[in-house]
Amino acid sequence: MPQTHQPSPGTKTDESWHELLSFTVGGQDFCLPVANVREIRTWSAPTPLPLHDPALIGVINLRGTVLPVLDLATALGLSTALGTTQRPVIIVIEAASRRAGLAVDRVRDILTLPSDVVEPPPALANGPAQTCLAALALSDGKFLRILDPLRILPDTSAEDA
Amino acid sequence: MADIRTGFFAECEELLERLMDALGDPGLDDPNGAAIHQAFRAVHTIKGGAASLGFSQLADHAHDFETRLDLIRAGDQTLSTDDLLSFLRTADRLADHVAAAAGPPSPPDDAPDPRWSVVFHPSGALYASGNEPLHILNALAELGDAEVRCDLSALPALADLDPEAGYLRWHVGLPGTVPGPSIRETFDFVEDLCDLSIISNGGGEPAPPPADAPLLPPQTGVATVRVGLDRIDRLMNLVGELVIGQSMLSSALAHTGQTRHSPAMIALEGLGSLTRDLQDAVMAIRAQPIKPLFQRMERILREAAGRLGKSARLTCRGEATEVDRLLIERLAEPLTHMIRNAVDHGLEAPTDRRATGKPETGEVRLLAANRSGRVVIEIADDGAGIDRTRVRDIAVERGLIAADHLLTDAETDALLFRPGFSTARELTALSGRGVGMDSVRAALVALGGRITIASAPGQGTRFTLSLPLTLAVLDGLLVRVGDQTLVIPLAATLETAQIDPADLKAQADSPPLVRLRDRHVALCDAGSLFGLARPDPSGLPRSIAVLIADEDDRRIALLVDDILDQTQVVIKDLRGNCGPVPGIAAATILGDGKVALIVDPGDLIDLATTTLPSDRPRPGQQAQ
Repeated sequence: MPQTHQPSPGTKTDESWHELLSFTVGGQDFCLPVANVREIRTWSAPTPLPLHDPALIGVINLRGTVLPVLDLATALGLSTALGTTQRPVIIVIEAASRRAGLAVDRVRDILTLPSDVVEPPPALANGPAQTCLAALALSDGKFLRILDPLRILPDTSAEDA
Repeated sequence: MADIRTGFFAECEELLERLMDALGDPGLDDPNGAAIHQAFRAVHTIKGGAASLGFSQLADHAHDFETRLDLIRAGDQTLSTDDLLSFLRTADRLADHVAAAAGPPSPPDDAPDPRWSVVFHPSGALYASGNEPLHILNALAELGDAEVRCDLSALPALADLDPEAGYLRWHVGLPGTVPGPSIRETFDFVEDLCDLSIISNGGGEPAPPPADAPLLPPQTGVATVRVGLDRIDRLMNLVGELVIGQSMLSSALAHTGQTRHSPAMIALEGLGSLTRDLQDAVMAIRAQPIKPLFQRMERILREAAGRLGKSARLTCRGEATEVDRLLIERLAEPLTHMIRNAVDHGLEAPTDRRATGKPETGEVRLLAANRSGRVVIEIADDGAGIDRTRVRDIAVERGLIAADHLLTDAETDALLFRPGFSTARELTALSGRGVGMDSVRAALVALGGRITIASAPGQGTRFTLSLPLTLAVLDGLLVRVGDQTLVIPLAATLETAQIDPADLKAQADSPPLVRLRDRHVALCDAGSLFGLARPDPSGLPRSIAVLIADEDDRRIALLVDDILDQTQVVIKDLRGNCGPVPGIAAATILGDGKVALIVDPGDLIDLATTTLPSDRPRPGQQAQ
């Protein structure tokens, strides 16, 4: 992975730089804001939930709390589902006080991008892989897709009603 | 009674905090916003509590405030900056009233703080005995902010002055917060050598003699600390982890070939009992007996009966049932409402009761119990029962059902829970501001609870509330289904049985029936019900069944692969992160660190019966 726009020390602020974790899922590259990433765990087999969203592969024990694990490839509607990889990795994300684990093929890198290369996703986006997008960034001539953690988290709204 | 008072004031503190938060919210002027509702609810709850505990001043004040907030809430009045300032002032006054009600029984006073006025006139004998008034005055000044004025009016002309007589008189003002006895103590040695008067300028009462009780409110009860529930939850999680860590250690040690009497195993056993004690202690922080809540209801009932001119008494059972603290707090409002409803709509007027040969005094029964791993609360009255014709008419009139809609009795009763339904002929003093059974139900559902209704004409109505024990340990039966472990609450388990295929009664398009415990129950495969594992294609059927029943005694037999163990598990929330899961109440973490799901018997039976039309509960089945 090419290192992009290495910031000079002392100029980095939250407003002008984006810190992103890049990873591969379903053979494609995506990013998540580092601010939403709690930890990265090695694979442990989740306990499946009955009659649930196919993307929600189950729950694991995260130090005494029950953490849902999503198959991100399925959640994003990518053709190559999980299981093709030997050892998936679980990225634990947190947004709006809710947590979930995302099963991905592998974690690649931490990127620091200046905010002026980050732009909103195209307006005509549709399909799960597009609606979960928070932003796009151009880096070294390649598009990076930045996911919106809030839209990936499992839907718990039925409980709040 | 003291318990209830303490509980109320602790609640008030939280409510006042919420009120201040809401008043500080920039969205307060939005009639549909959360802030105005939060403010209104806080004041409303304080009013309700104050009224039921007899703090009439506080209740009146809260009522006025509530009325003003209601104008904003209803959109009848817009919120100006002046209003907001006045609301904040009113909230402060409300806090004063709460503090006053919590403290000694004197009401807060708009007059300046009461002060002590001490008049001290030493006689000649005082000087002769060698006492020095300056020391006494200094001692008074040490008690508080003293204003000392010397009255020279009695001083004669120099020629007439008797040097050994006492002419000087001191007026000393002291803050009202200084305890009266301390003032009097200052004069202990000179009391009979001077003219002394100590009065409080408020009521003009003389200070009580030192022997009497001090004026400060006595510190009663055990000292308490308010701790956020999230901290307790964290503690719970850590203890849960400790239990798991310990069982992992135990199995690791067993693998190394340690015998049960080796020092390491004995030490581990000691650790184990400490861990269990710790777990119990942490549980006890949250669990509280439901008794104070029931006691509050007694008062609510008395008042409701008094206002409506009915005679009623409350009988309570199962007050020792321990319930999560949060649940007790959240139940207060729905329960209050249901008790009032029982008196208002349930019980007949005394004359009507006499006419039907019932005792004039109506009875409302409250019962709490642990059942099927849930808390069940029943509110029953011996009144007239639900007037189903009237309920039907109203539902048609309000457009809730079509005029030709056929309903069973149970379905008719369930109309009471529909939003927009209220059978109150007119708004009585008690029915409040249009909070109906629908909001009672909504409040219970938000707590993960269910409510059912049963009624028999002429005999009364019974509401049954079933609530989860959110943060409790659960005795569970661990069963294997496919390669997963499920936990079935032991309380819901009636029997485990080996099923002989010859005993099955096949049905056309639904699962076979099997006779267990003198009843035919549907036999459902746990694997296919949960979608965890398909039925074994080799045709070798699972043959172990667990007979489970929910709190309404609906039953099914659940086919599992194996029965593993019977153990206590710590309930972990599943919905917060995953949303509701059909048939599953919560999750737990097993000794090996894996997550296992805990079955919700009622929900599972619903799930099974929606696929089994023949086993749907028959109408009226719930009414005994």
